[in-house]
Amino acid sequence: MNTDRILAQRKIIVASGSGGVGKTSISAALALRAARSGRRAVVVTIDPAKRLANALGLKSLGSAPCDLTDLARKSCSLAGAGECKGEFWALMPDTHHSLEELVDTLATSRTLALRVKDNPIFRLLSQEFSGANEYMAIQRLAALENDARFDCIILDTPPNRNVLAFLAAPRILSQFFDEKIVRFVLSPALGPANRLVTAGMKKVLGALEKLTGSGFMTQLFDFGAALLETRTGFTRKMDEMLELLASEKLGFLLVMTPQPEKVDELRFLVDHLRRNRFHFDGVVLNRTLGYLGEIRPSDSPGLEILRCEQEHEREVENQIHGIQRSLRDEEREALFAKLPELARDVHGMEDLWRLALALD
Amino acid sequence: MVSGLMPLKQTLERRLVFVHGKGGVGKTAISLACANALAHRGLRTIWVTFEEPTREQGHEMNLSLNLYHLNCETHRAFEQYVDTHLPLGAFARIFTGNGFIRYLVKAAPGFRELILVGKAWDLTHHYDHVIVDMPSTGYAIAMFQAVRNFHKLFSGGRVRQNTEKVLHTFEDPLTCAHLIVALPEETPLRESVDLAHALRELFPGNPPSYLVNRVFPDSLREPASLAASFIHSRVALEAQNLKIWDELSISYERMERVPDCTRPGDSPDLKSDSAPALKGTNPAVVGLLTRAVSKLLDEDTKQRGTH
Repeated sequence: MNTDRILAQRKIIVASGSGGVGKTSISAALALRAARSGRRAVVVTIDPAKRLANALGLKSLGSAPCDLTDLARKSCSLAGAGECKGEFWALMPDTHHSLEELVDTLATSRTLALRVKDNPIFRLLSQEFSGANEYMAIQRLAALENDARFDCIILDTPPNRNVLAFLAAPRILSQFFDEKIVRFVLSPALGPANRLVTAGMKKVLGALEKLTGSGFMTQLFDFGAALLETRTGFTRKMDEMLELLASEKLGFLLVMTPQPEKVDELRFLVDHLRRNRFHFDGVVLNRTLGYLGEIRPSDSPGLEILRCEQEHEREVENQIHGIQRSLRDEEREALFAKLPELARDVHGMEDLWRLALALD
Repeated sequence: MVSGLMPLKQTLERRLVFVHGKGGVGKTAISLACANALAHRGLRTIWVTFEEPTREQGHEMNLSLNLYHLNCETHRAFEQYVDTHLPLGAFARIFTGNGFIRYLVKAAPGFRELILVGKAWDLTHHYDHVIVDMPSTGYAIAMFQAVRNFHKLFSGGRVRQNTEKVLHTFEDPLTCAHLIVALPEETPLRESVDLAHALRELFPGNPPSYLVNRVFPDSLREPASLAASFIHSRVALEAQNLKIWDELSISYERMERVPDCTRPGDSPDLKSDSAPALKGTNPAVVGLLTRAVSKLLDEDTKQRGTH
């Protein structure tokens, strides 16, 4: 199965893989490839390190989708990629905007939205580096999925944790509305004399207060109570996200480098996706050296390094084929694309176009 | 920008070392090699990772004579924290097992980070050396930021007292070091400058030290071939890239990229300095790096200039 067929079949591609494997550039290249075949493509990266802007040769990129179609079209012919018929957009959302947007869409009133946004817990969460990346990624994906401007979304998952944290986010957020959790959140409002507030609950909350102090507890319950008011909208939204993640519209690509110790990661991801009925679309193996041709054992340390790495590469390739063969109960074949490690850095759109063309 | 003048030897004299850097620069291999080298010198050393999904989580494991490994897991670390800091007795398991508390630990951004990094700190009381394989750049900052945030947010209570101690340790150059690892490639070198900046903001009194990993050895004797021209361009590119650090007067340790497969006729002990076999790591690479680190530890610091 080649890249164009995957792009034609899916509305959303989620690129996963550990950091440093070239996920951001490859995500951008996928979006360009989709744009070339006439799609209105957008690439979004959840990355505090601002790498997407660099990869595109831009100084900065905003939280709102930025139309880069002109730039993409010009560089397309320069890179010898022919004509680019579609559109190419990119964005790099920041935590602050995304979480505020989430609150605005869910809150039933302005007062409620303000109450949440003024809560010190929320203010800390919406800082950069707060650890709320997965929640933000989910919010962005939902917003883009409903944005009529785009018919192809490439999501570069948060680099910091694995894709599992991202996949688990909607379910974790929905669990907040679980009866058992809700009873705790409401306990201060019910008052200590209320029979719903059991002795056990009081004891648990007492212990928590010993850990965190009473000020935090007050803020936490206020935050929780405000969130509860968004219950209906919130639960619906998370159900939609879960449905979207498992739908035919969305596929996962794993980007990896040819190190044998990374194959476990692939196995782990494939298993996890299968168990959850998510769609695995294949592997992009980046930084390969096979194209350098056969290298014989020698005394040159440089050549020996390349020879060894080629050897690892062949082993990794065999293992990937093995894993993909085991998935063949589906009628389609998974993608296996190899990209070369070049002795130069990838800079700007033209390089990304070359990458886009090599993705098969 | 002030340069990191500290050689690896001095960095590894600190009890607690955080190994930082962009994804894919070799933090795992470098941190494990450092821990391994310290253990070989007879120091009780623990190598710490955070919830690495492919390895067993939550148990301190003995890997070799003095080398231990903990793949830290949030819930278990939280239980241990409560046992040490809250006199709850028999109620402790009920508390940590409670649905609401479990949810808070799992779902509230920052809680997990606070607990994990706190656990790494706690290990300094039980080992001579704690070497932490940190998550990549932004997420590592998030872990420290979480400690800061909760210190602010928790007006009173145990956690506040503990976070104060934890932050103090992380900033103390006598106890703790932050080692930034990069590759001789543009993006990781540049990103590490941003990372250094963020670390300095968090811990002004404890500047990071630097290491560049996988530097391609300069070998100019190859006969002309596609591979040889790759090597020449690669070496030239890396020298060019390293100017990013040189221009900022950052001084750093260098680790060479090494051939890590068996060659016919190689003796097996040449291949690895008895590195442990662990999922997600390459014992051959770790063994070679361990040897390089050991060599640096054996050198007399005074005789050695910085780069």
